[in-house]
Amino acid sequence: MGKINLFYIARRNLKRKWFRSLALILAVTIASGALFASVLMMESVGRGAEISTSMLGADVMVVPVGYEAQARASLLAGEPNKFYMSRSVEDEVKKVPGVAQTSVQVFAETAAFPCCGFTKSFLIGFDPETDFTVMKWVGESLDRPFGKDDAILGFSLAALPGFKTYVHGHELTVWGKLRQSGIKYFDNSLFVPIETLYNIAEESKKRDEVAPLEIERGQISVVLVKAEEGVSPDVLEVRIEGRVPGVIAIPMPRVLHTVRAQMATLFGSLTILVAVLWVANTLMVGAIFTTIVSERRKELGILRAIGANRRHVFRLILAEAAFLTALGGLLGIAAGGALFYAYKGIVTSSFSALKIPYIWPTAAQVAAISVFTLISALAMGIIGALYPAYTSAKLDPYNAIRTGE
Amino acid sequence: MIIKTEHLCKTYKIGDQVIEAVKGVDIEIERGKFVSIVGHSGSGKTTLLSMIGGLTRPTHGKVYIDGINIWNLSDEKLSELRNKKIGFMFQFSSLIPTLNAIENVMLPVAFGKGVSGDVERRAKELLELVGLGHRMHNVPSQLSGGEQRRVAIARALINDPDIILADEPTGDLDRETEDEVMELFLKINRDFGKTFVMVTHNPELAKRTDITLRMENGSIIAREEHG
Ligand SMILES: Nc1ncnc2c1ncn2[C@@H]1O[C@H](COP(=O)(O)OP(=O)(O)OP(=O)(O)O)[C@@H](O)[C@H]1O
Ligand SMILES: [Mg+2]
Repeated sequence: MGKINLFYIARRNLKRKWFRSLALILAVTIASGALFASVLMMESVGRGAEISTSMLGADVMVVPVGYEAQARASLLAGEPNKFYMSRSVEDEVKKVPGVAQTSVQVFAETAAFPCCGFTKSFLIGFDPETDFTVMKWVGESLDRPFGKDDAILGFSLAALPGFKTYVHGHELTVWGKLRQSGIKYFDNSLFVPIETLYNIAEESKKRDEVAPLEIERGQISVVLVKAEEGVSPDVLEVRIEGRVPGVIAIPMPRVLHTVRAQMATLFGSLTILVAVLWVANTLMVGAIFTTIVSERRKELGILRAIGANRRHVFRLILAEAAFLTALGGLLGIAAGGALFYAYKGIVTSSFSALKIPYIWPTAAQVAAISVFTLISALAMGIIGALYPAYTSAKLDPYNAIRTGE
Repeated sequence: MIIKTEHLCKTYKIGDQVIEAVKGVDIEIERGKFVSIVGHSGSGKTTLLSMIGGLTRPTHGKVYIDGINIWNLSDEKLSELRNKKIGFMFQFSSLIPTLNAIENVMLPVAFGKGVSGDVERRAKELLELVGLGHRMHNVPSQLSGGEQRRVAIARALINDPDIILADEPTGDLDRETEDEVMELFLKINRDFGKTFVMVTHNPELAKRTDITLRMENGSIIAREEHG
């Protein structure tokens, strides 16, 4: 048989008052949907920010004085600004005690290159000899060493390794592509060896049929610095600014901190809203189940008379509540997910408008967030119904049966 | 003795008012006997039956079922005893409204440990025994009062209990149906050797039982044996 068990009785009870059950399920659906969507969003932004900073692998970024804001914008929002200083800065920075490694990059220009349709890409020169930020994020690549006429493309650019492209009349081979980072600075960039870029610039100025690339040999935009073990980026910042004139050193953790602060203001209210919804739903479950058990006192007494013990009654009430809220949780995940993906474009563009790096979560993350949402929905039911379940388990069977007589 | 009580008392306190519903009841009931309890409304019959059946804790005194002091048992053990040894029939309809007739009959099995045998077949047989073989899939609201009573009888028998406690089981039935139900009880009592304790207001019915206990103001004031 096995047909008549606590869950069967619970389900029947819920069906009896279907409107009440449905209303409760929908309320939980709304709360769970909001929870699911906002956690998903926060995770995405968090991951985007984490990757964008850790991805650089640098502890300090050195830029010309007066360009701190532009540098931050480049890094986080992917808006390369043009600012230049002499490459000799690198040698001076290298001499600062506590500096382990340095590498330079030059932000050349923003344009649509033949490789990449009409996507605006940022042409960046990097030094493959000393690089510690670009190469390690290469995903797929050609099966040969990186050469001087090779380029590396960001994730968002269409061309695949092996394709040819032209930069101011100079042919380059797409050697590799970066993994997704969520920051335009990486995802939309075309990385070319810095020496090659200087050559292209010189060539372009000599030839009439190509537009000139307006950079000079020896110009760089940033020096990326890796600190020695045990030297904090903040200490390095002070030392570099003290010893190298005309530069600003930006410690990377501070960049991360800025993003976190932005996120905190953005999501603070969202978190509060979700928490309020959760508490309100839990209280509502409590109120509804208090009515349910007082309505059913007599029935519960009869169940006790025919052999149900206190634990059976306790579990019956909790099972009913958990069943409803779990259903609401599942619907919430479906609804939240559907909404989220339906507005994928808007979400992405509003984040990039806010200059917040953003990365779509992986399947494993979505699964984890779903489980978390389901558990919190279950918790609403179980915690909400705890008190009514406890009081109904404590009922004296005879008194319960006499109810309404 | 399958049932024995020792100085069983139940008092209710409502504010300053003290209601002595049952006052020092000592009874002994042998296995297989059909006992009826009669008395005026409010004399304490239901309260007594509930204490014997493990539904409400006595203020004083003891209840022994098969020699076990039931009010010393844990909730779990006492519930198990109600489930396995006692079948209840109440003064009013006591079916679960969301379950149909056969599900109501099978319900006690849901709370028992170790389901034995084909419960569904047994439930069908019991419904046929009470003459409701054709109404198995109706929910209580689709059954008449008498039919609901009979479903409750089948439910009381599903776990093959030794004792049936029936509180005015024929209270609101017409004479003919009342007779039928009484015949059924007597048959179950005779054929299966079940012990019956039945509260009734009908002296005719009481006469057909082995022993009648008369209650007044919470005490047993007379005990009559019928030939
Ligand atoms: N839970 C309770 N709280 C207060 N008083 C109660 C309670 N249960 C019963 N009583 C009182 O105890 C007395 C006995 O009640 P009981 O129900 O046992 O009577 P009864 O003999 O079954 O009556 P009836 O024939 O009307 O069913 C009554 O005066 C009743 O009011
Ligand atoms: Mg009564």
